[in-house]
Amino acid sequence: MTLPPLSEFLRWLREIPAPFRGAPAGFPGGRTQVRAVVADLFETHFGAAPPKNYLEAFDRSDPTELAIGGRGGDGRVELNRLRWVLAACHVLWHPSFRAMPLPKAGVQKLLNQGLAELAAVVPSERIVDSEERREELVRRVLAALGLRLGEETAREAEDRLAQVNSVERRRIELEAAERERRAREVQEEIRRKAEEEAAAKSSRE
Amino acid sequence: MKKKTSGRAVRVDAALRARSPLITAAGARTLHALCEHPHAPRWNHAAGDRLQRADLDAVRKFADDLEARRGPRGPAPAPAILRWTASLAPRVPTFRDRIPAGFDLEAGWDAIPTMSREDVATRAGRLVPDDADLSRMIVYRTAGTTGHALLVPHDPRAAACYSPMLEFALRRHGLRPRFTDRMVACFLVGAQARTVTYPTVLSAWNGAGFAKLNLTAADWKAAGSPDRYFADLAPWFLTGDPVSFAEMLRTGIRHSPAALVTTAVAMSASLKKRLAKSCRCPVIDWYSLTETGPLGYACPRGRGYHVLPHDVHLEALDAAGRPVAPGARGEIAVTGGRNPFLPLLRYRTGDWGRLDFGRCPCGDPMPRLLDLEGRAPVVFRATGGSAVNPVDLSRVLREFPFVQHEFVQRRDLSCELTARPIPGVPRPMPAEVRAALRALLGPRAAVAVKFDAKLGSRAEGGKVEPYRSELLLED
Repeated sequence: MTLPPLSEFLRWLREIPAPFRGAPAGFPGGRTQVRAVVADLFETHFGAAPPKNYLEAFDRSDPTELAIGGRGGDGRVELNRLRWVLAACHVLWHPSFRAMPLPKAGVQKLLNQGLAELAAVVPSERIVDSEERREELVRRVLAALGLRLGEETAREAEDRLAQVNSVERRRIELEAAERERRAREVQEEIRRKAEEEAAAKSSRE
Repeated sequence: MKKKTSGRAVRVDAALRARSPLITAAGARTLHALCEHPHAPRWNHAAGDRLQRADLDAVRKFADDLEARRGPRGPAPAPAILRWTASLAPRVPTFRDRIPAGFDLEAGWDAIPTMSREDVATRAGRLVPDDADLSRMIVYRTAGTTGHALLVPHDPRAAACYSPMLEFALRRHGLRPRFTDRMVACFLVGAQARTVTYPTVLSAWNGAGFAKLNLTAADWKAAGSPDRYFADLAPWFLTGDPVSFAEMLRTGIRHSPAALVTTAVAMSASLKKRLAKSCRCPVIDWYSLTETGPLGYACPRGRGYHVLPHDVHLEALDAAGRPVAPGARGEIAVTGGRNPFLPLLRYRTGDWGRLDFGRCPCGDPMPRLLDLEGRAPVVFRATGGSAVNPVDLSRVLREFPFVQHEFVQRRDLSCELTARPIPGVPRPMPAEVRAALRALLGPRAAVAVKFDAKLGSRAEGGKVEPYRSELLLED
C-alpha cells in the first residue's frame, strides 16, 4: 500500500487532538495516561498490549517522585519525553498505518529509545509551532517502521531525515563548541608555555 | 682533539633531573665543566632535553628509520604520507577544515588548500590534534626576521630528533661522530645582542655536552674568553648561521671542530671558503625551519640539498597552491613530520626552489632541492664594528605598533627605517624608535625613521623586504 504524501502526515500532526498536546497524567493539570495510550496503540496494531515492564517506561504517575525529579531525574525532561511519545502515538494512529502491518520491534524501539534522544534536545512545544519538527517526527516514525513516502527514494528519505535531524544537529553543535573550547584552551596553553623554558634543540633554524 | 671531562662526582638535583631525566654521572661532570669553566659565558637560561627512556627509544627508532626508509620519492605523496594524513584528518581542526569526510586523498591531493605561516601565527590552537596531551608541549619562538615572530608548539621527542638528523648529515660528509657523556658534542653559536644561552647534555648523543651560546662581548668575562672556552671544552662540531660563524672569525676563535653546520640562511661561497680554511673542517649547509624542523642537508657532491627526513613530503607549488611542472621553480611546501603539536599539511615555507626526483651520484636516493632561495644572510654593523643580527632588530621593532617595515643599512653604516603604522593606533615618536635602534647600532649611529601608511601596498603580494644591508658578511 502506498503511503500518503508528507503534507497529509503534517496536516494530521498539526491537528493533533488536545489530550495528546497537553500534560500527561502525573504532571500539573495532566490527565492523559501515556501508558494507557501506548497499550491501546499496541492492541490496535499488534492485537495485544506490550509487557508490563515495557509499559513502565511510560508510567510516570507518582507526582511526588516527579516533583523531586525522581526516576526521570528531572520532571521537565520526563514531561517533554512523554509529550513526544503521545505525539508519536498520534502519528502511528494515522489511518494509513492502521491499514497495514507494522514492525513491532520498530515501534517499540521508537517509543522507548528514539524519542528519548529527541526529547533530550527539542522541547515538545515545537510539535505545535514548528513545521520542521513535525516533519522530523513523521520521518522518524517512517524510518522506525522501515517505510518511506511514495514520492521519495530511500536515499532521498535518508537525506531529508538527516537535514531535519535535531539530535544530529545538536551533536554537531556540541562537537563544534567543544572543538572551539579546545582550540582556545590550546591557544592559551601555547601562550602560557611560551613563557616557560623549552627543551634543548641542537641546531638553529 | 676531543677533550674528555673527568673528576669528582657532581650532584644531580631535582631541577636538573627534571630538565635532563636521563643524565648520567659522567654527563653531570661534563655539564659541570661547561657551566663552571673560568671562561664560561654568563648563561641566562636553563634547559635540558626532557627525554624519558621511552622518548629515547623512539628517537633511536627514528634514527634507524632515517637510514632504512630512505628511497626514491615522486611528486605525489608516498603511501605513508597519505596514511598519516588520513589518520589526522578527523582529529586536527585545520585538517578537518581542508579535508571533507570521504575525500580521496590520493586523487584529490593537489586540491587540498595549503597552510602557511598565517595558520601558525593566528590559529596554532587549531593545529593541535583534539586528543593531544598538552602536558608535554613546549613552545619555541621563531626569530621573526622574515615576518612576525611565531609561537611554535613543539615536543621534546620531536626536538631530540634533530640530533640523529645532524649525525646523518655529518656521516654523509664522511664524518663519524662517536659521542659519549665524557665529551662536548656541539656548540650552537649565535651572534646577537641578546638571546637565550644555556649548557646542557643531550641523551640522544649518549649524554654528551651541548651549549647554546652567544658571541656578543657582553656575555663573556674578557675579550679572550670565547677562544679559551672553545679551546678547553673542544666541541666536536658547531652549528650556527653565517652571521654567527662570520662573527666567530672576526673575534678570533681558533677552535678547529670536525665540522661547521650552517643553518638559517644561505652562506656565500666566499665565506664558506674562508671558514673552511680557518677552521680546517668542512662547512655543511643545512635547511631547517622552526615550524618544520630540519628539511635538507647539502649534497656532498654539491648538487643541492637532499631531503633529510624520510617522513615528510615536499612539493613545489605555484601561487594558487598547484604543483608546478616537474623541475620548475615553486614555493616549497611540506607535509608530515613528527611534531605531534604541529602536524603540517601542505605547509608553505615561504622559501622557493626546484625539486629534482632523479638519481644523485652521491648515493642518497631522496629527492633534492635545487636553487633553494631561502632567507638571504643579512648583517648589520654597529658604529663600533660589532655585528648586529636582524633577530635583535626584530626584537626591538616588534615593541612598536607597525604592520610591517623595511630597514636598510648603507655601506657608510647609515640606516633608514620605513614603517607602516597600525591604523588607529597612535604612532610612536620617530625619536623614540631611533633611540631604541641606537641602543643596538651605537649612540651616534645615523638612523632615519619615517612612516609610510602605504608601505607594501605597491609591492606584489604586499610583501616587503624587512631587512636589507649593503654590507657584506665578509666585511
